[in-house]
Amino acid sequence: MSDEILKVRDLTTRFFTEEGQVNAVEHVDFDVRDGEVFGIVGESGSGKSVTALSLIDLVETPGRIVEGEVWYRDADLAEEHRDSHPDAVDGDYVDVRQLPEATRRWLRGPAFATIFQDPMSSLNPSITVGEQIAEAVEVQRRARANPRRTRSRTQGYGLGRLLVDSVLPSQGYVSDESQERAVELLERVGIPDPEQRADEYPHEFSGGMLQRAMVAQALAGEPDVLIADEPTTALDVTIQAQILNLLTELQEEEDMSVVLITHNLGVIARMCQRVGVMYAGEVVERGSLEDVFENPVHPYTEGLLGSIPDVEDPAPRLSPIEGNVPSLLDAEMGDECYFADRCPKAMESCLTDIEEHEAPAATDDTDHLVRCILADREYDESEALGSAAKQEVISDD
Amino acid sequence: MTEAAPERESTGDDALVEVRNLRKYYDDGGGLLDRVLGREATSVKAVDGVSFDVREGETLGLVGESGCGKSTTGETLLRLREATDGTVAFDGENVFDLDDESMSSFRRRAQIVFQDPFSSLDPRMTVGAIVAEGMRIHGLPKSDPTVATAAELTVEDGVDRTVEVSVADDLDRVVEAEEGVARVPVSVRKREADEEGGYEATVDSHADLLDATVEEREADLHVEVTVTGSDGAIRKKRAGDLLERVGLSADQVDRYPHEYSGGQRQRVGIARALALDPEFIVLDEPVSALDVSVQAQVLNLLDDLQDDFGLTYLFIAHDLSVVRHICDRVAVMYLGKVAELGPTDQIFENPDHPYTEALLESVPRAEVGEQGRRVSTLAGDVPSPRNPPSGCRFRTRCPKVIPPEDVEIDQDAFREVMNLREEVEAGNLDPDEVRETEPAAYRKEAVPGIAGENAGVVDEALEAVADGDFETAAETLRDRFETVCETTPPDDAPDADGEVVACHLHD
Ligand code: SF4
Ligand code: SF4
Repeated sequence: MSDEILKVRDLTTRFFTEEGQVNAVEHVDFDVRDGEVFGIVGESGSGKSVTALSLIDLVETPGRIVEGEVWYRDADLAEEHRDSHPDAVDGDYVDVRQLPEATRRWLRGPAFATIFQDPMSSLNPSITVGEQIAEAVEVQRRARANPRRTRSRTQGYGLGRLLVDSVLPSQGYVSDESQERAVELLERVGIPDPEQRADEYPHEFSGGMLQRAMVAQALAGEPDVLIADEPTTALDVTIQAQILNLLTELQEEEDMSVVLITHNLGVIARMCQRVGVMYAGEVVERGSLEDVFENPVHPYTEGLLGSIPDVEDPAPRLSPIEGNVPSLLDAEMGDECYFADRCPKAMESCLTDIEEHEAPAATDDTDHLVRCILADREYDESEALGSAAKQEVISDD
Repeated sequence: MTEAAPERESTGDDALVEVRNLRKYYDDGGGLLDRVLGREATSVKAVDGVSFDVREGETLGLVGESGCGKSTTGETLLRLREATDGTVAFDGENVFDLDDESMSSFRRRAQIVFQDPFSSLDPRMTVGAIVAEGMRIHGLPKSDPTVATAAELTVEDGVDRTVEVSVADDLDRVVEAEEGVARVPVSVRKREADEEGGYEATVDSHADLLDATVEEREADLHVEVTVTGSDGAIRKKRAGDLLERVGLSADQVDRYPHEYSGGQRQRVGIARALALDPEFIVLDEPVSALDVSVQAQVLNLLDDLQDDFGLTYLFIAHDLSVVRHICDRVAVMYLGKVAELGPTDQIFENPDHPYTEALLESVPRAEVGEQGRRVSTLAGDVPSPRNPPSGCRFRTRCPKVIPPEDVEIDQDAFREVMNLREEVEAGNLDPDEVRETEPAAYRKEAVPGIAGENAGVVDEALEAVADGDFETAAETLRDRFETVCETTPPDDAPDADGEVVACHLHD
């Protein structure tokens, strides 16, 4: 049996806005192995969060996943769908995107669970924390019994729901068993006095405690893959450390895989075994933490690492990447490598020869993939174009 | 700018800003619950007595987690918020006690750059107008009567007469003075014969704001340089120069903030702060909202500007790596007070305050060695600034909280005892649960590391809890375990070197 729980292939998500088509995620490939933390790092607009949403099929209009496969390993599901959806099954794997809608929704919980940067956006302010977690437990329980008829009150919580909930008394259909499990989960994520805290409302929780509650809710379905999108970004550094410790502990003990999405290279370094670097919707470099942090090949990765001040070593001067993050509007994207206008190593072929930089190429290490001409050749300084020359080539074509 | 920077001695240790016992309380009427119950409102003690100097030409970092009061400190010392108590001296003068004229001068000399470049820029104004606005408000450009004006004259071939130049006294409205003199390059040449003949003069810089005319006076030529640009034109030119200085293009003065990316907008914010030729800038999380690649650009820019203009910075940030990079000295704040203050290297390499240690320990480093590092984290959350702990503010979380001298107890166990005391004093324990578990068993669970007399006292207290008598329980525990960390606030006044370690371990 293969040790990948998730194989993402060619995932492409676009937004069709008034200003035009936005290429948010472009042909993204990566694997997530059993029991590992796979990191996706990138700056704003790199597509990392849209990638997370695409994995769990939560992209909202005007966005749409236009292409790609998300292969998830589940022998039972594969068996169940082998005849009805032959294209969606490959050995023990199912392509989540080709499964029927109800099954896809059902997978959220036991297969994938998510935590986001802002816990408040996923918790219902008018229901106690304990009850919400109990409900998540209940939903999972019922889902297991009957995959086709489940809808959580707290899933996709929006203003409409808030209004309904504040007018109608909450319907207590949560079993005692689920209540107890909720308290257990709160304890599991390190919330002191879980029994009392379970009866409190989200606004009575501090930011760190809320994030713990989110994690508890995510654990309700005993997921195989936890997708954590900037889980500590809104937190102070001492609280961030608490949450990172918690995630490591849970990941080891619950034997989960984690996809950790963040802009913080330090968080990546502490948590991840393997990492993908995203830029302008593409994974531009991917490999083990050592590959990417110690032998970066893509000039963007190099630039990113050179941009961050080191808390242990006050370098006199940072070497930033010049320029700004590019537009992702389809109309404004040319054939050249998307990083070319900021890349200090850009050569003529980077601007013209789309074949050369489009496909990720392996470096001498097969597990270290780089989407750059330099993946498998030495950099020759004399070939680099100055910024004026670059402009000329770009505006020429 | 039109004024020469006042000459100041830079002995390096001179304080430009002296903050003493600064307090800022917010009386927001208390929490909803307080009001419903008619309780007396407790104010939020956002800044509760901080003292430090910002030295001429340095970058002092003010770091801490959210709610520690760092931004309020920055805004209060600039008098953007009214202080509750304390003093701030800027260049020797008490900022809270300035007359209108001195206040206007202070507003010019001390500037602020905010975190969110977008919300701090008026979206309906062009960036040129934004940068120039402060100059307009302060009635600039204004000529400084103490500044002399002069021309650097180039007499081209063919001019065989003596040339005299007079330069308008208000040239310094356009041209920045250096060492008390504003200079402008002027050249004089003979016109080609097929033109109308005679002589002509041109100013070779700021040509669109200045004009030069030649007059033949007997055998001599007299050149006169005048300022022809309007105040508005002069300000716009200067705004363009400043935009260029911060890495934008001068011909973008007519653009609007929304046309810029976050990093570019922050550059506009910096240009605006520079427009009045300040000496001191409070940088309030100036790079926190920026992507790392852009953050590095802005940090480098701030570095360069400090050198070029001899600026003094108060750099407020939560990101310790950024602080390490840019600051000369660092003040670490916790819950409205300064916990530690000292030279950056000292703070980062040999932190003395347990809070600083914990903070540094928590920062994830972007390097392979960081992988799998388990951090010994601080437990719990920061207490409410409405009702901060007595004595040392950090004592509710401090792993090194000091046991009473006559009590022998393991450090970790003492921390647990203190946590238990906290719960008892807040009445957070459930008497039924304690009774059902039995006090001794409960103690073994809550404070496993104690025995003998210590255990006896805790058991006694828990028995009182089981009876619902929290007061006796709290007293019993206090009698034995009261620590200097709760009775006495540690000294947080800067010492002779301007350093602070507000911790009893360093008394
Ligand atoms: S393909 Fe060329 S421009 Fe793009 S990152 Fe590589 S070297 Fe730079
Ligand atoms: S005074 Fe006490 S509680 Fe405060 S930091 Fe020092 S040891 Fe810790």
